[in-house]
Amino acid sequence: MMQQGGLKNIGNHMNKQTFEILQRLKYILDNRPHIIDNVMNSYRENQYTSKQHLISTIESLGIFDEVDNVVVLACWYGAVLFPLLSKYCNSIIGYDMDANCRYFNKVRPISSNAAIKTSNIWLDRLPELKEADLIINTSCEHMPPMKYWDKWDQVMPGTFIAFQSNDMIGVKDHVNSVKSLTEFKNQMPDCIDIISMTENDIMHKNSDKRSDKRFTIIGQI
Amino acid sequence: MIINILCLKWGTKYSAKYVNRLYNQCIDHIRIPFKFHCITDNNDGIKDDIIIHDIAKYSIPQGQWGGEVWTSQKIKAVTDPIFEGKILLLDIDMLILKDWTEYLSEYNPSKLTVIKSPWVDRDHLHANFGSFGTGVNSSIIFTYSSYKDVYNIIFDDLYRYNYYSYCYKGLDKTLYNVCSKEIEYLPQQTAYSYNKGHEPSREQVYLCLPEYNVCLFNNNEYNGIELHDATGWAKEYWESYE
Repeated sequence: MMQQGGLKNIGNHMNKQTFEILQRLKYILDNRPHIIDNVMNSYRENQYTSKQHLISTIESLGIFDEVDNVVVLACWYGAVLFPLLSKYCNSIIGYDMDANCRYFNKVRPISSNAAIKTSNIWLDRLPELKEADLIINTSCEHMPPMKYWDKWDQVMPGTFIAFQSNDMIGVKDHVNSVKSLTEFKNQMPDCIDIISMTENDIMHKNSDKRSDKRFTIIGQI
Repeated sequence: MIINILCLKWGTKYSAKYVNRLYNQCIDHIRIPFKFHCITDNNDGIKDDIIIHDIAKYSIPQGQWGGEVWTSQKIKAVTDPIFEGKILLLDIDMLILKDWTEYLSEYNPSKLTVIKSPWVDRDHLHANFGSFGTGVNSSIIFTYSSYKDVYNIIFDDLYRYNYYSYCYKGLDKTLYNVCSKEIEYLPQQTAYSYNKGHEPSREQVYLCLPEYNVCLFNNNEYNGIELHDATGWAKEYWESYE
C-alpha cells in the first residue's frame, strides 16, 4: 500500500482536491472495502459531465442568486455534485437510502457545508424539505416518476427543482429510464413551471461507438 | 397442536406432481399432525387428501404505477383467519431432505419467519436503491395465524404498495427493504439453494447437503435448473416421493 508521503510527492499533478479524493478512497479501502467499486463508479467521467452540466445550467439561469439551502434527493455519495455545488449555497442536505453514503461523507466530509442522511425519499420523513430553496434529483431513472411523489405539498412555493434522468434502458437498477425529454417532462408534477429542458449525449459505459442521452429539467414550484 | 401447511400453485409451469410429492415429503419429515392445503387455480391431479382452496380469494392488486408485489399472495394466505395456529407455507419446488419435526413442533414464531438467504452477499444489498438483490427468501414462511403486521405494511397503504410494486416488484425485496422489524429468520441450516448454493461465492451448486432441512429450487433469475429438469440425486430423490 502506498504511503501518504509518497502520494504527496507525486508533485505537479496533485492538488488538494485530488489528494483528498485519494485519502477518501484509501479510507474506504481500509474500512469498507466492499463498497470501493460503488464509490469508484461515483467518480466516473459521466458523473462529472452530467453534474457539471446541471450546475452550469442552474448558474446560467441565475437561480443560485436565490438559493441558500439545497436538498439533494437520492444523493448517492455526493462525490462529484457536492464539491461543485458547495460554493453556491449555505447548506446541502443529501438523502440516500444506502447507509454507506452517510458513512462515506461523515468520516471524510466531501464539503464542509454538506451532510448526508439515510432515508428512502419515497417512504421516509424528510424534515429539511420545507427549508429547501433548490431540490436536486439526478437519479430519477432509479425511482418512480416524480409526479407520484407524495411530498410535493411539503415543498414551499418558489422552490426550484433540478432533475435529471437518462435513456439507459436495460441497466439493471434503472427502473425508470425514459426514451426522450418529452417522456421525462411528462413525469413532472403539475405544480412545476418548467424553466429549462436540455438533452446531452453521454458516453456509453461499455461502448466507444454509441452514446446515451442525459435529460435535464429545471423548474420552479 | 395441528400445523397448517400451505402451498400455492397457479398457471401451467408446475404440475400437480409438485404438490403431491411435496405432500409426501411432509408426511415423511414432519411427524406431527398437520393439515395440508393447496391454494390453486386448478386442482386437477392433486391428491384427495389435500385440502383445496381457490386462489382467487388471495388475489393481489396491480400497482397503479405499474408492476405488483409478485407472490405477495403468500402474505394474504398466511393471514387468512381460516388457518388457525401455526402456519407453514412452502414453495412447491423444493426438496425436504431432513426431519423437520423438532423445530416445527417446539418453536413458536412471534413474527413472520423466513429464510435468510445464505447465498447472498449482504454487504452489497442496500446499494443501488435496493434493486440488486434481497437477503430474504420467502420460499418458506413459518408464522401464526393472527400475525398481521407484514400484511398491514404491504397492503394497507396504497401509495406504499405502488412504490413496492414499481421498485421492488416482488415479495422478497419488499420484505427485506421495508419489513425488517417484522420478520425473523429460520435457523441457519434450514435451507440452501440448488441453483445458488449455500454461501455468497456461489461456487458450489447442484449439491446434496443433507445437513439442511430443505433444498430450494428458487429460480427467479431464470438461469437456473427447475426441479423437473434436475438430474442425478435431485431427480432420484424427487421421484422417490411419487
